Amino acid sequence: MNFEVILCILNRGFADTAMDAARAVGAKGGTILHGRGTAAPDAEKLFGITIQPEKEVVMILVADKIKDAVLKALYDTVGTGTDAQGIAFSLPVAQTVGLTVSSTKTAKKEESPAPKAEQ
Amino acid sequence: MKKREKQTPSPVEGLTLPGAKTKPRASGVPKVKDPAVRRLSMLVTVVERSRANYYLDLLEGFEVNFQTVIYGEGTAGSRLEYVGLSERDKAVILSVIREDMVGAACEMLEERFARVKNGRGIAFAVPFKSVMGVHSYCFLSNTKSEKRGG
Repeated sequence: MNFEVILCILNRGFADTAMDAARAVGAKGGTILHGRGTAAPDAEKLFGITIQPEKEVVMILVADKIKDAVLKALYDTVGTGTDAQGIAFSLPVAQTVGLTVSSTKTAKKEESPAPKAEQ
Repeated sequence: MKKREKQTPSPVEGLTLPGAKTKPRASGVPKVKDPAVRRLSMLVTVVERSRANYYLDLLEGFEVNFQTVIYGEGTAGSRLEYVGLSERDKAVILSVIREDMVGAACEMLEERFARVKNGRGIAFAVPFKSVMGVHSYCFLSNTKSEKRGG
């Protein structure tokens, strides 16, 4: 199974909302980092966004099958149109270690009906 | 007496070095002692905060010259499937590692995650697309350049 890492940068205090949204579509867990945002003042005016400097970065490792669903959920709940003013993107991951067997089991379950369907 | 053939690995496409001021050789490889430009990856390791230094030391053994630690919080509950992420305080270790070392580093981490007490965690590698400057590349990839400071 291939994985991708989703990074969601949003206003401080909204990380739990983002995680709840991600969990609802199948993400298992994530890590929250604290940061400080910067943006050009002109860009703030142009896009009508107020940059709150205190930020949270939510890092979620997800299977690529559910990546789009997680990004959509994040966009709907903590996207730029909300108070969280979140931006989310995903990066390809070359190798993963430390994920438990359960995620592999799920993958096998999903894969197993395919040959039956062909018969 | 047979002349020993020196096998040079093929250059890796895609890794750009904007700081490379020297003319590229015929093969398009910048001027470093080792003719092959080897790709770099960012190895992200999420572990319990108390174990951060332990893993930093271990990863140094894989020719990692640059590492940084960011403190974060885990979000998974103890009943969740990501075992080892139930404790909230986490350390996120960012290590710049050569791609050919990623496999060995991951194997080591997998073994330690399973064996070390409170040492569970997750790790993944994100490939680099480009690096600013040959000197930076040599430092990050632990490659010696031909010219001092070059």
